[in-house]
Amino acid sequence: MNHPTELALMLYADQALHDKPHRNSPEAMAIAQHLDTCPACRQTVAALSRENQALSQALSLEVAATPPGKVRFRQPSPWREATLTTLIAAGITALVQWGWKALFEEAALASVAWAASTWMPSVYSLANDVFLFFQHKGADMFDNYLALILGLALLAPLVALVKVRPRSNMLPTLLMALATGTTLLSIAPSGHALQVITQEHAVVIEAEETIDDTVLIAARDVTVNGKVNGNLLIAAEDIAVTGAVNGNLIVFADDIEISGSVQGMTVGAADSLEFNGASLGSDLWLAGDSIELDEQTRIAGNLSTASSSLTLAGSVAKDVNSAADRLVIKGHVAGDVEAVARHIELAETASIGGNLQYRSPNQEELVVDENASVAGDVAYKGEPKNLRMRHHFDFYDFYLWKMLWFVATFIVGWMAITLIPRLGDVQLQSGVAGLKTAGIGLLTLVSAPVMAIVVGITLVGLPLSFITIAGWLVAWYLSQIVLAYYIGRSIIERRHDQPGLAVALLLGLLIVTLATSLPLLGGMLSLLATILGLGLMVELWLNRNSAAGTLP
Amino acid sequence: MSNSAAFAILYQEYYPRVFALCRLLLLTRDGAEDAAQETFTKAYKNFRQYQPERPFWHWVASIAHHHCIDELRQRNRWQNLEPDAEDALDHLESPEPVTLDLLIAAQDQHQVRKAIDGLPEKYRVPLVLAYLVQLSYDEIAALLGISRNHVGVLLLRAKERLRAQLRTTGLGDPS
Repeated sequence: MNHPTELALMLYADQALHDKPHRNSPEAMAIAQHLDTCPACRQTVAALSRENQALSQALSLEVAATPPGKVRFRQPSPWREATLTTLIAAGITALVQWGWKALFEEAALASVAWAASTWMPSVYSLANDVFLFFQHKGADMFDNYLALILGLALLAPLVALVKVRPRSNMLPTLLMALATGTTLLSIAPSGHALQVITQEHAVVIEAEETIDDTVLIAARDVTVNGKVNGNLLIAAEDIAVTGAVNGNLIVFADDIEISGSVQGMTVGAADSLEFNGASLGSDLWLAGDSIELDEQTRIAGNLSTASSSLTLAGSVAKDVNSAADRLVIKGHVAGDVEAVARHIELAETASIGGNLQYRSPNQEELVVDENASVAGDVAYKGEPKNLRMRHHFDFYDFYLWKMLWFVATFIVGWMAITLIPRLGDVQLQSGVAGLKTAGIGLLTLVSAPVMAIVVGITLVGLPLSFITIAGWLVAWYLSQIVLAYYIGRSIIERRHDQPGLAVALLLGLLIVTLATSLPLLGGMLSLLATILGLGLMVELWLNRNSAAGTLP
Repeated sequence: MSNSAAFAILYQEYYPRVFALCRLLLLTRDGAEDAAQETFTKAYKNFRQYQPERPFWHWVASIAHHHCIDELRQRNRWQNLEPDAEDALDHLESPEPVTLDLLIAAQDQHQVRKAIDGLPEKYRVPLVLAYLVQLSYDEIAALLGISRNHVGVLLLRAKERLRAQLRTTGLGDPS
């Protein structure tokens, strides 16, 4: 007797020969007839059927073993994908631009300069000269190469994105991202890279020298006689700025003397700050022991100070806010003066265009020369300690700012959860798991800035440090939003299946805002909300590879 | 109840099954998660075409396995399904004395899953389509672009390998 092949019996057992087109085929009829007379083949078919059933059950068990998903359905949003992809492309482009500038113009240059200063063989001097030439004379040439390299660098992640996430609606998204990237490339900041100068002793930027970048200088003595067309940040023992800064100026030192011009804001902290004939185009923020501004100094913005003594002989175009042990005004203030001081003196040449409000131990601490002038009112506001005694609830500003914070946070939270819906999927566990979440949040809050500082010590790690700090600040801001949304969602979910994002966020933020504003407990609750929110976000990040963090 | 709310409930109910199906086909958790999400996105967009008299599982599973097979093809991981020497009909052996159902019954779920995961793609995919999704040979053949008999050969080979694997595991681990 010729038995059918195992394949034929398998087809029969799997009922592949029972379907319409095959039911009356010669093959099907032959097997059926054979099975009527062959017990061995009947046994085989029965065994194959049992196998099939066992396989079906095994696979069904596999499905049943997958726990029910708590993830919520996210409606498809082409805008979300487009925005996210564009943000990613823009971020990558900006990072590559900055990284390239920092690596090439800083790391390579600094390495060669260091090598030249250490060994001084002619080859290093030559290399140093070549780099200096390219930096100063060949910037345009390198920018052209840079654009090409950046274009390729931008295309690579986009191609990767297409490969990884092939979706039908990705084409317009990619075109949009590409357009954004190209725009960013075309407005490449050629003159606003970061230059870092670190030397043990003195750094001098000569009068004829012009730097088109933002400059960060750390040295013992720093003298800036030249021109800086970006921001200037200096940390030193002694600082003298006689040249021009077209950006912001930020200075930390023992002694600071500024007699040049600053177009942007000026921030300074030092034992002694002297401004001699300085021209300051915007606000001035100063802290120190002794602050003196001579009669030639011009401030186009506001002046805010905290010091032991402040002598203001120059002119201020806007307001003056000062906390000082001894405040002497000899110059002209166009706006108001608000002062908290032990002693205040308006000298013969002093003139104030607005009001003078002051706090001091007693009203007589204000001494006004008969030739001094105050156009507005002079008001004594009481002792300084009264300011500290009053609770912030007493000031309407507090409520105004809280309201503004609430609206801004709602908008940011709504955008963040719309763009990154997984932020809304966090789950706060009870018991030990909840404590673990808080622990992770606290660790993140404390360790991230420490790590950023450690990484930032090295020149190469500086961009990474900035990114870490920026990410940490963003996470900090988002932490209470994430927790608020979770709270709002949890409350509404008890009554509805699918709470709307806006309603849940609004309710959650309201609860968090009220809780964190409570007297006495508010600060503690705010810290708790922050570390819980941070912990939830970190856990979400750590569990990103599991199915929405809910499946094992 | 709005379509959106109804779909959200179906999503809750069927996500694990779709995820498990995608995981069996793609093997990676990340891939399965993306595929499951993409499956429901497609289902949501085409929800009006869904006919309620048809089981939702059949409909959504059909979207899922189509998507997964496309995904495997796009990743260039889809092996050549043309019959090779190993698949030749004359190499088929007679049925094993110990049948697969007995071996499956003797193992725990984890070992069976491991054995299925260990199958080459060209055997695992038809196996899942046939015995989990319950597609007919003709449907699998049309989906994979091969003949009906070839589907049968691949399934036989899949079972042979499973038998061998489970027998080895069973001998190594008496439990």
